[in-house]
Amino acid sequence: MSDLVDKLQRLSLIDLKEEEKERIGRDVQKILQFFNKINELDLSNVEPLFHPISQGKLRKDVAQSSLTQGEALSNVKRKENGFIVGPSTYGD
Amino acid sequence: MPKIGLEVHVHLNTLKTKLFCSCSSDYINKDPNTNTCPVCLGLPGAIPVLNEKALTYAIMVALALNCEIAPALVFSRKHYFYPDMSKNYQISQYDGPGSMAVAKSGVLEITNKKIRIRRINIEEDPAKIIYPTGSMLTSKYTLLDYNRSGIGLLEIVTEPDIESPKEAREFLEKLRSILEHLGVCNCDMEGAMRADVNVSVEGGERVEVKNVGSIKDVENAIKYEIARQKAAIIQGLKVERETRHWDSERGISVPTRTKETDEDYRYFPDPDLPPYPISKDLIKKITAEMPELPDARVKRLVEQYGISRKEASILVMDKALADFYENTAKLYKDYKKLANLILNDYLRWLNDKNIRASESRATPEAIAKLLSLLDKGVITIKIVKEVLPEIVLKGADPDQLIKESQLTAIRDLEYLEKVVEEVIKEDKDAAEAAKNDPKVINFLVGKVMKRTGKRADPQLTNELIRKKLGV
Repeated sequence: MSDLVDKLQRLSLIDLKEEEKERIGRDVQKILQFFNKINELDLSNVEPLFHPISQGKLRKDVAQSSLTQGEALSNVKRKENGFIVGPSTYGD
Repeated sequence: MPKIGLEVHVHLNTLKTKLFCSCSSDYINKDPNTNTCPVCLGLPGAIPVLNEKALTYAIMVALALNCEIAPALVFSRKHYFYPDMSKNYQISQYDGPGSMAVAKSGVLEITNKKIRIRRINIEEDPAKIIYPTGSMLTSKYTLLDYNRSGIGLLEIVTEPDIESPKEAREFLEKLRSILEHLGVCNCDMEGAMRADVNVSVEGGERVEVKNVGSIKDVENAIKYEIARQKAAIIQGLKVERETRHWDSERGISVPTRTKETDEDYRYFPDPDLPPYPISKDLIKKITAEMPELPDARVKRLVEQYGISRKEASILVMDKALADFYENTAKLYKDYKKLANLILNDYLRWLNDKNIRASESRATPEAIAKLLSLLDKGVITIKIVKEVLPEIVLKGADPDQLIKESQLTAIRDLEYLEKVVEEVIKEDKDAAEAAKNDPKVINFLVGKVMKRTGKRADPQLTNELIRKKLGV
């Protein structure tokens, strides 16, 4: 279980303290057990269903107006000359 | 032999809108973040809806690359954290439970070789990252422009069948020509074709160089990687599996992420996009409407114009060049002479300036006129070659050009005879030698040409010299 929590921590890019790891480990265990109930059913004759809706829709290739820069950036905390400021992408 | 595989990303930039929203696909040179909506900004609750034309384009490319087409279009979420993707997943395609690529198992033929296509994915482009210092390595932060976010892409993945930088180049040029003939991509546009390059040499692991921006750079990146990896192995170092970044300015690759094997994209079918069945009827309809493809066009050009297969292939490698040839051929009927001029001199000026045929300023009328003037003896082939760059690069009119520069051919016998006499008198040794050596005659012709400002008719000059020397 602690391996799984370590992996989840890494994949979600968050730092967990030891006691948090323990608590989350217990929660993850509960969630997995809950879903494992499905494994108790005999599903050998059931086709897997990946979407409740059987057919998606398409749209015509016709342009419509976009948001203004002000609207697009209205929830952005750090901006510079109309750009969104993001973290560095090099190194760890 | 090195093993090389390519993942080519092709912008579907002839679509009018993005892949999953109605924002314009025309994002270049717009102010940052002015071409977005809740879908392509990745805001919670926004629902993507696929562009109908994108599916048609993907099927066209799949057919052109001899692929098997999936029974349904299914999208998956590919999860990763990077500033260019605010919703933390890219809508892409994946082979796994309940999901598959739009097409797989194709083939593209280059000279004497078949390169297998593993699969074709439809996916969205992320936002554009700008590095304030101009370099990923030294920038303390990034600037993001979401105008490009959501632009439709095809990812075309090959098997590792490519064995040299040259083959990679040929593959990409052929692919580009196919995409241009299909009209799914204007490949001259900035960033329209990018590739991730996988290279491994004997005794080493596979190294991936990400995001290489041009065919030339792909060739260079492969050359660099083969040299770097071979050198490492000779020195007894290990070539480990890693992802590198291509620095086009310096012409080298640098390491990026260190924990490649740890990557886990947690793919799953996107619940926002239910599957869309691809019917046999739809494929049949698209097959019937497919435009002429490069291989067929090469064959037709050979038959229709009597040019060689090699000549036809070079023309067709750049669709605009083949179009230009055919449009000029409507006006000028010596097809071989025309092919000769376009493939040798015309193309040389394009290559010299590093531009493609679509950027040439010459009109078919101008080239047809130029060759007619040559046929009528008004100008010499030397003059044709001399004025060509003005026509190609500046769109000059041949009549005007020749009139202004007084470049008409000299066919005035009396005058030419006088010049020939002078030249022979001045260089008696050469004249003597020329009696036994045709090469020296050419040397004398050259002298006459020089003295007349290249306006002497070379054929006529040659005859006059021979007559004068009695050979």
